Parts: sequence; structure tokens; C-alpha cells
Amino acid sequence: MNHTQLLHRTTAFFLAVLSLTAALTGCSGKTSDVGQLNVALQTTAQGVPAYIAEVEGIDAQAGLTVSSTVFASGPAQNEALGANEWDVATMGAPPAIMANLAYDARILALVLMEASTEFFVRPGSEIAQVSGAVPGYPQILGDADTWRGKTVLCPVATTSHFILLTLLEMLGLTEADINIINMDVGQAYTAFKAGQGDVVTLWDPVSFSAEDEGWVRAAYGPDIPAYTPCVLVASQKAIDEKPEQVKAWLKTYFDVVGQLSGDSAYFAGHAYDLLNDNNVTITQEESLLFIQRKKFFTLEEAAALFQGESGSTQADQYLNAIADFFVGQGHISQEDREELLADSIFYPMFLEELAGEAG
Amino acid sequence: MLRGAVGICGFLLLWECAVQLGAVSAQQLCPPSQVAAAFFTKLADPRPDGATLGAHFIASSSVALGGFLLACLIGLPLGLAMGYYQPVYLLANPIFELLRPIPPIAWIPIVTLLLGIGAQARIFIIFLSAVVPCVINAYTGIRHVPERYIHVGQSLGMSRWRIFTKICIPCALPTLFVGVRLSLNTAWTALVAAEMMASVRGLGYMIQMGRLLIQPDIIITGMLTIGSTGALMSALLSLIEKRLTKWGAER
Amino acid sequence: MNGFSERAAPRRLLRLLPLLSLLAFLSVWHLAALCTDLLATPLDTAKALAGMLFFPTSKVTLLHHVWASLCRVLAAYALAIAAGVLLGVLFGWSRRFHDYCYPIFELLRPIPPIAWIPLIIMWLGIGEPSKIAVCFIGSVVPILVNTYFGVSRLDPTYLKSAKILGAGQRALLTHVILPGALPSILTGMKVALSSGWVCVIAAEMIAARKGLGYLIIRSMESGDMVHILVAMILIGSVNFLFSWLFSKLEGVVCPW
Repeated sequence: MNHTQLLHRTTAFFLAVLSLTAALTGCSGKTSDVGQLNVALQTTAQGVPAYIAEVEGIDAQAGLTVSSTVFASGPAQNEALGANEWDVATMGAPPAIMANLAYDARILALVLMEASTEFFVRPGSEIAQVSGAVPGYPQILGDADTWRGKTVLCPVATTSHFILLTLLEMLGLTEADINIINMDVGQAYTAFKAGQGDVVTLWDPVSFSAEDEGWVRAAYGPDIPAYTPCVLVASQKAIDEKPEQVKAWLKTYFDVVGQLSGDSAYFAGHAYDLLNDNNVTITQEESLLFIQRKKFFTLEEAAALFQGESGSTQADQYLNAIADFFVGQGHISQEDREELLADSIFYPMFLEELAGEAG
Repeated sequence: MLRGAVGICGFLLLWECAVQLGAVSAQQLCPPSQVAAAFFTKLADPRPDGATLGAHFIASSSVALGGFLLACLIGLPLGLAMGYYQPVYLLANPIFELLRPIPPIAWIPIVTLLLGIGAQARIFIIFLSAVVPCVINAYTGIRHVPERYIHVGQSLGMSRWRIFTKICIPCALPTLFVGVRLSLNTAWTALVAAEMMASVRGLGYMIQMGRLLIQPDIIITGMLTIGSTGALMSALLSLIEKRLTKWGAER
Repeated sequence: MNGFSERAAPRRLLRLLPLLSLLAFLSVWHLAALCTDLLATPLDTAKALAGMLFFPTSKVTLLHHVWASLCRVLAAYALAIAAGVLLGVLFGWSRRFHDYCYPIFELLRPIPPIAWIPLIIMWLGIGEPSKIAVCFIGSVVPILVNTYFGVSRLDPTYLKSAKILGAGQRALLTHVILPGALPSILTGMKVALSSGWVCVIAAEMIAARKGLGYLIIRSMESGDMVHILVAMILIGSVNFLFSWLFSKLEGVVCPW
């Protein structure tokens, strides 16, 4: 056996190892059964109706075989989308924008306004000593002078960041006037508790523990006119290949939401399960608070957001505000924003059909 | 050298063709041309993550080198002492063995508690990883000094300290250098983990933002920058090592 | 043992030193815990560890978590040995292959496994293969480098004598090269097991539901200091166990 033969044999062996790995890889993709829908959720309120639809058998009754995965964050969902791991998802608007720009994912509906972001300071902070600086918003503490130069722990490129910037505008400041440290909410909580930073940005359910720590709420999402919808997203592939399943899933989602107006406790019970099963610790009381703070849109309300001239519907306005935020941050380009504006991000057809059928 | 360049070019060509011809979908891997474009754009453009490539690079390098230098400063003497003085070994080894196997990411929460969220915390995390090869190689270097050299020194009436500094340390130098090189590699590898902690600059941060904003060309730019810098630093250290050992041998 | 002090230090005192050092460490830890109010004391950590041993965390017992992580690491390890030894031998054996391809490896080598995660997810999804791939990257590098080192530093006279004695290529490989490089390969394998284990935390960032890395990540997200410490201790202990087992194995397999 000469030199070349040895090389060939060893290369063949190496290829065999590679094929073994490829075989393992082949097992990883989700089976694309026509009756099956792969759903991506997070441990957030907008995921709860989808979760209920699955565990209470409502999806099954509608003929859907649903397989959900719970992700830690929007970016994690988007990465999985890149690998075609899900068909539909519940997420916030910022990751939905990214998913559309990168993978042509489409927003099926806006389902609730995310407003649970809260900004906390320590009781001794100078921000806590000043109130009423923003006319018409008495709950916002601090003013331009006390906020200037502060270190704020906040996850960047998220709805919280967007809300923070709106708050700064209301105080007469810009992002350059403060020092933002990019931290995940969980880590930020620990760091703030350990004495880092002057202001911490939290959302629920992490924010529920903040008052126990003695921290003072400097500002609260619902008080700030920054509108950050949570959305239902479908991949372009799912819309093309499984339109009936996507529409059916959308229907079961809104059917469950229709039940919320009567029974927060029912929802809270499922929220408790969804969060605790996915390593977000929350008590029964907290899960009730978690749900009660959220205002889900009914089917009619959700459909109404798309009424009007294309490009200037309510849904367009909400998305444009967030897109402008991203352009301002430099995260997306102006051309990308134009693309979003041209309505390619929304796919309200299923929603409108459902509203028509119900009404 | 030339063959290496050919090899790399061939690899890039294969990559480019694979994507352009559709063997690999553009969604799953962006072609080198796109990565190159992103690289050159990022040299001057602070978008989309707030800093140019140069600023990220400087932030990462300073943190990595800081941790590396600290590791050498503390780890090498410690390892040498552990190798030579038994009491030092008996005191330091248990703690070293306890802390050594813990990966850098796992240290983030504790280091945040103790050192905050600034650069010093990141330097410390890198230090924790980089100090290990320094200590181990320094220790091994001393342990492998042949007994007879020490006996020669003893028979010449040299004090323990002089034996240590005049005989043991020079003998251990080659192993020390390997340790220093390993330490630099480890420091650079731990960088991305360290930058998961409250960063706004750095190559690891750039990659994180690339993930958030779904820009694979930036992710790959970051990866290749990390890769080539690591390779360059290793090569540089090897060169320095050769010079120094040559100089040492001449003495 | 060379180099150690000849000066008379009482044996008893020397034997006490490791113990003293551990006690000092635990005391410093305890003091720090009392001061910062966030760090858990050694005692609390020990209690939590005991608790986790008997009660399920995230619906699964601690042993299951350790087993889940172990499976990933060992699968990656097996693949890494196959690929690493193969490539290492190729690099050391064929000058041409080395000259053309080693620079590519040198370029990719310093990229930490964690940085590979986005690409790995894009290619392999979020299931087990992607986690195994992350650990694979961590493990294959030491094995490859050490195998290459072992093969390239082989005394050429061994090869020459074997050829003179009429050995064919395959016999050369199995009877001269591999055994000769074995000490280096074993060193590489020892480091690789450790590296792969360290990577498992990074790997379990990819949508994991079980595993030690998953435990640490979830504790980090919820700021649960006690469980972070427990997970750190566990990860460290398993790593330590690996090293120790390997040294024993080395003595048996490769006594020369």
C-alpha cells in the first residue's frame, strides 16, 4: 500500500465519521408532518393562551397536533427559526422585526401590549427624592439632573430599552446622558442587589421581588407612552405549506383569550405551570398579578388594529415606532425599515378571515 | 508558508462556491465575500452594535492581556514555589485543585458579587482560567529538574535559594514558556465567556449582538477575528520564546 | 521527590497543612458570605447539595442531570477521539497535508466553542446533536494537537528500522506510529475530557431541559446563589474525578 492509498483510506474513514455525525444531525430536524405544528413559546404572558390551548386539548379538538418548545428569549427563538425548528411563535415585537428582516417571518396578530417594565432605584438614591418633574405623570420619580450620569442596568435592543429611551425623552435627556450597562434582567437583579448600578430595569415576574428588597419604583411601563406589542409570528414556510394549521392555531389562541375576560384565576393557574415548569419561579399570588396586569386583545380588537389604509393602520404605527428605535440605535438600516413599512411584516389575512367568520 | 496560504485560499474558495452554487443554503452560512464585506464595513462603522471593530478589538485585547499578565505574575511564581517548597505545595494545592476545574462561565455570578461589573471583573474571570497552565507548567518544570543538578549545587555549598534561582528556574524555562503560551491561549478562549458579563464592547459582545440582530456575517467576522488574533499571538509568543531560549543557550 | 526541602520540618505539621489550607478557605468563604449577604455559606451550600441529591430539581433528580450532561460529553468525546487521532496522524504523517491544511486549523482553533454556538444552531438545530457538537469542538482540539505532536516527534530511527525490517504502511501505522505516539495521545485525551466537560455548560445553553450546565444557567438567570454554588461544586468535582480516573488509567495502559 503506497502513500496515496493510505491517504485515501484515512480520508474514507474520516468521511465515515462525518456521515455518522450527519446521521445524528438528520435526527435533529423536526418531522414536518402536515398535521403537525411546531410552536415556539417563551415564559411570557402572550404564551399562556397557546399553552392552555395545547394542554387543555383545545388544539387537539381542532385537529392540530402541536409540539411546543419553550425558549429563554426572543433571540433564542430566532436562532431556532434559522434552523427551521418552528412554524409559529409568540414573541415580542423587537425579535419579530429581526425575524422578518432575516427570515421573512410574518406577524399574524398583535395580542397584547407589553408594559410590565419597571425601573427601580435604591431608597437612598437622589432620583427617589424628586417627583412631579414630568407634567402629567406624577408617578415618575427624578428629573433631568438626578437621572443624568446614572448607571442604568438594562437589556439593550429590547422593549425595555425602548421604554427607557422614551422615559429619558420625557425627562428631557438622551441616551448619551446616562450610562447603560447591557444586562439580562435576571443578572441585573442580582447585580443591583449586590450594589452595582444606580437604576435597574426589571420586568415581571422578576420585578415582583423588587419591592421586598426595599427598592423604590422610579417609573412604570404603563405610565410611559411607549407602545410595545407582543405578537404571534409565523414562518413564511408555515404560511405557504400549512395555512390551515396556522389559521386553526390562531383561532384556538383567540378562543382561549375569549375566556380570559371571565377568569383570571384559570389563566393564572396555567401561567403558574408554564413558568415554573420552565425554571421561572413564581408563586400563585404572583401568577395572578402577572395575568391581571395584562390586557389581551380580543379577536375583534386585534383585527381592528389592521383597519385603515395600508401603511397607517394602528398596527403600522406601533411597529414603526419600534423600527424607528432600532434605526436610531443603528441596529437596522433605513432600507430595512422601508422594507418593514411596505407591510411585508404583517400577514393579517388569517386574522381578518377569523374576525369575519366570527362577526 | 506558501502552501499554507494556498490551503487557506483553497478553503475560502470552497466555502464561497458551496454557498454560491447552493450546496449550502445562504441562510445557513454566509459566503466569505459577505463576511469580508462585513469586516471592512465594521472597521469604520459603529453600527449595529455601537462600536467599530477596532474599538471592540482593543476592549477585548486589553481585558484578555490584563488577565494573562496577572496570571503570569501570580501563577508562575506560585507554581515555581509549589514545585520547590513542599509546605507551599501542601498549602496551595488543595485550593488550586478545588478551584481549577470550574469553567469560566460558572464564575460570573460570584465574581459579579465580589468585583462588580466593570472591566476588573472580566479581567479576573480571565485570570482564573489563565492562571491554571501557568501554575501547572511552572510546578512541572521545577519537578522535572534532574536530581543530580541539585546535588551538584548542594555539593558546591549553594544555599537553597541560590539553587532555586540559579539552577532550577533556568532548567524549568522551556516548560515555563509552554505554560505561558498555553496561558495566553486560555486567556483568549475565556474572553468570550467573560464578555457575557455586562459588556458594551468587545469581540464577544459583538458576536452576541450579531446573534440578537441576526447578522451571521458579523458573527463570523467576530469569530474569525478571534481566531486569527489567537493564532497571531501564539506565533508571536513562539518567536519570542525561540529568541529567548537561543539567548539563554548562548549564555 | 527532588527539590523538596531537606530541612527538618515535623512530619505531623506537614500533613496538617492541606487540612489547614482547606479550613482557611472555608472560613474565608464563610466570612465573605456573612459580609455580602448574597453569597451562601458553606453550610447552606452543603445542605442544598444534600437536598438536591434526594429531591428532584426541574422534575428530574440530580443524578439524571449529571447523567444527561455526561452522555453529551461522552458522545462528543468518542467522536473527538476518532476525528482527532485521525487528523493528528494525517498532519504528522503527511508533510504536504500538514502544509496545506494546518494553517486552516490554526485559524479555527482559538475560536472558543461558545462562539460557535450560533452557527451550530443554524446547522444542527437545537436538539442533542448541537450540544454534542459544542462539546466536540472543545474536545477535538487537544486530541488533534497532541496526536500531531506525538506523531511528528517520533524518533525517525524507529520508522527507518521498521521499514528496513519490511513493514508495510499499515503495520507501520499500527505497530510503530500509534504506540509511539500513545503517551501524547493519552495526554491529549486527558485534557480533552476535561475540556469537553467544561464546554457542557456552553452546550446546555442551547435549549436544554436537563443537565448540570442547564442547572447552572437557570440558577444564574434567577440569581439563586446557593444552587449556583452547588452546581459549581458538582461540575468541579466531576472534572476532578475525570482527571484522577485518567491518571490511574494512564498508568495501566501506558506504563512506559
